[in-house]
Amino acid sequence: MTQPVKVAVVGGGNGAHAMAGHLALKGHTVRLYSAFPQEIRAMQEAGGVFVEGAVEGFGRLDAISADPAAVVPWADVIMIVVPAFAHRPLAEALAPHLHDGQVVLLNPGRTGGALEVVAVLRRLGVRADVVVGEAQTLIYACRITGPARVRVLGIKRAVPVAALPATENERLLAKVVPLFPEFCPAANVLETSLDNIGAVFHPATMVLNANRIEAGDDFDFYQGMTPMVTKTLEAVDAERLAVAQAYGVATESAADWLLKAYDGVRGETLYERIQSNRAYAGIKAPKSLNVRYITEDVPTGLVPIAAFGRAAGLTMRTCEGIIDLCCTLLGRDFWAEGRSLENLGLAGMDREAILRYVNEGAGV
Amino acid sequence: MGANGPTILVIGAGHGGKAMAADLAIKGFPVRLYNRTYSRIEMIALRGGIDLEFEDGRSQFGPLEMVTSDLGMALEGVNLVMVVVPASAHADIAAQCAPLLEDGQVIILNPGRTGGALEFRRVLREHGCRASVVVAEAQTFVLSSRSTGPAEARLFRSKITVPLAALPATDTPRALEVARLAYPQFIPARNVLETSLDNMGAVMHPSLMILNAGRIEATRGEFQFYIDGATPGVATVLEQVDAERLAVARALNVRARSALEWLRAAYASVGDDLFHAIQGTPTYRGVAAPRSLMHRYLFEDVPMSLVPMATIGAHYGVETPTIRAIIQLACVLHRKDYFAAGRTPARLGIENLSVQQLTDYVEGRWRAAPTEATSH
Repeated sequence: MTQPVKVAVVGGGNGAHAMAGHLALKGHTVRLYSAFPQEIRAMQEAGGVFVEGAVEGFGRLDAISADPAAVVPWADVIMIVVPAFAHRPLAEALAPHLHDGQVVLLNPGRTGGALEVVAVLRRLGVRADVVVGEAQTLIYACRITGPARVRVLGIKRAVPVAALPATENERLLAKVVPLFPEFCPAANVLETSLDNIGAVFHPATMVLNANRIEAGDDFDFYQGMTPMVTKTLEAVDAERLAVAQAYGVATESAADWLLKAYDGVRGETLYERIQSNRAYAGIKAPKSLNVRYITEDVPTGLVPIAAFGRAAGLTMRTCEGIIDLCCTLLGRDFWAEGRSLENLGLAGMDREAILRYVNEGAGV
Repeated sequence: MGANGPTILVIGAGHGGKAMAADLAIKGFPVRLYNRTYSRIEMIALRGGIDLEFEDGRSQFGPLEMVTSDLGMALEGVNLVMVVVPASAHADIAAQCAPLLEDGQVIILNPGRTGGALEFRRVLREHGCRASVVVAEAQTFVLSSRSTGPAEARLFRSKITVPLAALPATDTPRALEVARLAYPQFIPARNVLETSLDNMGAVMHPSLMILNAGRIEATRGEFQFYIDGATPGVATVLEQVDAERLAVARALNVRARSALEWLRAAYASVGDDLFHAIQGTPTYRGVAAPRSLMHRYLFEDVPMSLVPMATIGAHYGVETPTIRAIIQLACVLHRKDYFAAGRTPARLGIENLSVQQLTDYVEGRWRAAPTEATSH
């Protein structure tokens, strides 16, 4: 290891437990902040996190607090590991504590995470020279198995990250690659944002199984991806791919992603590949519609994907249809709550302006 | 009209047409049955009629005067034409009928779905129909019935009242005069916008299909379509679709009934919202879901009911995002562009009309035919 880095891990769920414990075991100085005291009580009592699985050991933390002032100003790198719908309120909470030279990385950003965080910081008049970036996915597959205890099921081999604007990519990588050599550069935050496979799979499957889920039927989520449901997933994916293409972002279809991401996936069609994925067996469908498959994947997945598409002059009918039905099903306005162009700091921009903003920044 | 009342032609030998033809024949009317594909009616022609089984298990033979695939022969001299085909076939039927119709004939679409009479009239006009006929649409099909064999059908029950309107509405009394001889259940609706917008199938069927898509495919419809299918969140979507339908109706100055009011009136349903009202509708108990998503609840109700509601709404400035979402998902499921295939203001021949002109047209106050629609 080169130099120990002062890292703030923000969050108190599965991913935050794993990342805090793992980074401490790697020899970095780690503090953890969560806005929810109940999430961190066990870690405070233990003084750290017990990590098992792909990584083993007790990661002792330097501080564990529900007060951002005790964690954030101290850190060189701030790793945000919370659901994407929390990025906005979290950015508001962190804003007063940021200073020049810090790096903030969203793990992951979902679609438009870095854009939204930067929009919040600008709105609040934050002047600090902070690099904000996002990872395409969470580096771990992990889950909490007990008080202050997390099992790391796997560590991904390569996780693309990008900063906003892309001119800051070098500064971002210089700070985060020493933490995780798995981090590799993406061209810009559109690349990390548009590879959002959860946004393709989850909301449409929820809508087309809305009744079964509400009725509390016991079934594996992938069993809800029947042949016709999968056709809808393909239609959502086709719209996502069209957006990626319009913005010059290299991405692959959900069907090809499955082949790459999991061992033992077979077949030609998306349906066959989903049904042959053993990793999906046993993942139960939720018993309620009010879950992250909608409350996260719609406002921070489909809404910004649809917004990017419209800004590029594309029709996004299937995404919009799923969003509209989710709004009705949950009685919420995800269009307004979610990552609209306005909330991403891109109000009134067309494709060219968005690309300029993402690649070169607002000052250009 | 003969001594036995009007001579009636039933067009279409599906679940509804066969039962209606037999029912009317049993009531003593001279009845003819037309179906485009002869093989579908060959057994009926051989037997000379249809066996109709009633709800109590009793069965009776309905003798038909004529069973044919020759529309010219079928239409000659009849007084009442009962069109009992999927709404997607209305335009074709109108085109074929146009040169064959006779003065004074009454044509009733059973039912018209949304815009049936408007589309039928537009096609007659475009095909230069000169006969002075009455074109009317029923708000729903008057019978609950099922085809049970090549020359057999079962009649579950008749509806108590069925609103009916002619286009223009000044023809409604003439339509009712003949139609009520066959079915006294027909009652006058104000005009065809009312029968078209009081389309409860449009509210219920496609949304239930879409939000139960996974379950229908996974279980092959092994659940109660309404009772099990309309969970609270699903019912919220039905309410939203209904609210958008009512908004379109309001924009056209049509007083439509909410689905909740309709359930209370039609089925004496109990409940303060759509979820509870559906649960409190005994008629819905035991009604099974379709076994497949390839079902007329989507391939008829989407293009013939939801698409006209959405596109008429857009035409007159009413947004219908939930209806559009349901249509879009049906397009995706069936790999078919229902926005293009469905009834639009242009297909209904009303795309150049203001709300006032449309009202005048359907009410019969506006003498000139609307500007000819350019078909697409």
